[in-house]
Amino acid sequence: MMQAASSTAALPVLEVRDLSKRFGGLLALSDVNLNIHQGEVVALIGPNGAGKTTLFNCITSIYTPSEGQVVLRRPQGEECILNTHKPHEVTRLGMARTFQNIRLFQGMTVLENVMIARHCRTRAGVFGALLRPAWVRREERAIEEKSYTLLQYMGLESLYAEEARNLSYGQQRRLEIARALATEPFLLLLDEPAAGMNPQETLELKEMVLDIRKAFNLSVLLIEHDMSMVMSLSDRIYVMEYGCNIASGTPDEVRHNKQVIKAYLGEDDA
Amino acid sequence: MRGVVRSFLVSLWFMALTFPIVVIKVSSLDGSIGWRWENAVGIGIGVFVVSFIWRALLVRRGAMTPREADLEWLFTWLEVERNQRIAKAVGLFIGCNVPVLFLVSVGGWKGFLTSLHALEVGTVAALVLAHFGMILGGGALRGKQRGAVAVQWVRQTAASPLGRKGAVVALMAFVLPLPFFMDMYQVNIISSALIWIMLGLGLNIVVGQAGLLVLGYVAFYAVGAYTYAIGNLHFGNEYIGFWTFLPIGGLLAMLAGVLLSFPVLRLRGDYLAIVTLGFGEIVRVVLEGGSLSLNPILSLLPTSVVQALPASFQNTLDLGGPAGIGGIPYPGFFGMKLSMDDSIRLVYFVALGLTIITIIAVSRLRDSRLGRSWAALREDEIACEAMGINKVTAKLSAFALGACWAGFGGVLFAAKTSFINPSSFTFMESALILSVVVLGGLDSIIGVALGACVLILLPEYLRSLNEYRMLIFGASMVLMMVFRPQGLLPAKAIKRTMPVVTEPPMNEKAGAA
Repeated sequence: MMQAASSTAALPVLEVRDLSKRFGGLLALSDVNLNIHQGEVVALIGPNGAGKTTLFNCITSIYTPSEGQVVLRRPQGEECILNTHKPHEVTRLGMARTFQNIRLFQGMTVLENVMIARHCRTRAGVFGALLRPAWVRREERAIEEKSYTLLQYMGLESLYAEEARNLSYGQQRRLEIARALATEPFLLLLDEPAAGMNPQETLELKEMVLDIRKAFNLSVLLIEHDMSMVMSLSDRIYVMEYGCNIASGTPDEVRHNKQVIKAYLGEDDA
Repeated sequence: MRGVVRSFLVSLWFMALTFPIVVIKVSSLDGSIGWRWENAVGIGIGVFVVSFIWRALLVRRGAMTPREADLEWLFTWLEVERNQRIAKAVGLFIGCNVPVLFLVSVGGWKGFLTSLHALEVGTVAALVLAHFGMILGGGALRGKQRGAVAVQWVRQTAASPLGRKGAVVALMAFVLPLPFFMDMYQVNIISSALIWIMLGLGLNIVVGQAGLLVLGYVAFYAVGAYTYAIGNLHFGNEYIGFWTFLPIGGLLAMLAGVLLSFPVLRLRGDYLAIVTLGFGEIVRVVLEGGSLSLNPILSLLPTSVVQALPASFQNTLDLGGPAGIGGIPYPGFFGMKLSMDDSIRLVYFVALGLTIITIIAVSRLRDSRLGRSWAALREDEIACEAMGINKVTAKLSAFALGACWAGFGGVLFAAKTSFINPSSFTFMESALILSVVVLGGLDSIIGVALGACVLILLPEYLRSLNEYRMLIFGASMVLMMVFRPQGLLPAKAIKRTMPVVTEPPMNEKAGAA
């Protein structure tokens, strides 16, 4: 399956080349390389503090990389180097993300949370808002409907008028994914989507990730600690430790990689 | 007994606090000092009683047990339904009479009658408000049921679209003929309340909707007012007047907002507040300085343009200094000659019209793509950017639009008072506008409008109570923030009714494909 995924697209949709990130004297990432091909689910694993979230933040331009490049290839064919982009431009180019510690707009309703994400695909400005010509009213209607459809897809439609803070943990996670999907991405970045979920919820999440990949024609990059989920879900896995790539490959290859075992379990004499 | 002891201590504390203003009376005529001990006793008893009510309310909020509050007897008694009805009746009775008793006790019968004469609408409104308050209080003491009949009626009316339309019509029918029945003093007060509604709603865009704490908002107000004052001084004639400077004032204030927002784009919270506070002070100090040299601006222009300027052009701009600028004309009305009273009425109608436009504009902004991006900015800046919202555009537009309304308000203020000086644009005003927004309810349009009315009208109508005025004002603010920190009328999410989407959900589509 993995070969099939990587051979369909000649060039990766996301390419991280020799990326380094320094915070003062601290080298948080050093020469990290990573590729994602169209339709792949790629996982990023590693012990706490390995630099996974830093890498995410560099990819989504929340941080500016110190060295190296992040290259995004849009389905339309253009190639963008993201280093100098702002986070909102990256989203507009077609990369959406969720956050490790859920970052919903807590005081707003579930529907509004998704509606906000339609911002980058709509265009009404100040005068549109004040004068409300017909096209703005149509646009607003379309935003509502599209958002509601996404809520239906995530099974949250009955909660649409609820404030986001009143949702259960699992629902908040799903809402965050719905919100990310509303920006119409072709690449979805999930930062520990299964954190704090019980095994049943994790299983459902895994099904959902596979589902949305197919339904929305996505490539997915995820950070995850839950090994059973990572192993069964991903086409390829990258392993990080101390800001470096230490291994990459199919789940099977990674499972048997000595360095990975060392990183996770410590030195093994046997 | 702890509650009683505490009440006693609190009343002692309040007696000490209010001692200088209620007990000592210095007569500046003969230099003698009078001691009015009976006032201190009155305060003590009053606070003692009020602190019991205070604790009863705390118990109701669940912040205290009845036992801790020494109020077990009250709450046991209230468990019986008949007693609840009695409590409500007593609450109603007190509610109807306390304001009257209060006014009588402070001003005496004669004072009460004169104050009635002078205040008319205001006092009646205060009585009605107090009445409603006490019905609420009676209802609150009654137990878990929320609100009393009148409050429920208001809620139901507000919930139905027809009820809301009716309320708007009724309100318009009340406010439109108002200036023809009231004396001009009243009309002026209400006009300034309307200007403050505009200011409050403008600041609400920045603070309430976009969550950017701005403490120097009055600077934009000043820009608007001085635009009209200075513009009138140099260019004013029978064709160029209020209606020309209204949009110019708004635009210049908007420009000031944009200029301010560039240095503060990276700041938030406390830092933003301090920088904007500084900005407000800079504007005030420049105005007090009296003149502004235009040379820096002229040096930016090409020499040919500078040479082409008429000889009468002065390269310093006279700002009037602490003495201010006077002789600002009232708004014109199709070139008609208006009497003084009619001009004041016209200001009222202009203020009313602009307020209505503001309310419509602000509520449209709130329910728009732009308004949502502000809300996202307020809720979570990082997630907001991750949703593809340009933080810079969102902040800039919030500052620009917020400032614009302060500019309109400023022009109108200058036209209303016909004289402005820097002391109308101090930090106190900024703080008061912010109080309007916070007290009314952040992000809530009706709340802010109500807040402006309360904060501007209350001190005016309490004027006859002279030294007690600010005391009552301050006390009501403290009470508000303790028992209703979300504001008078907190913001509600925009109601959306979702249609039945005929399209099947996407997973089914994907499954079929």
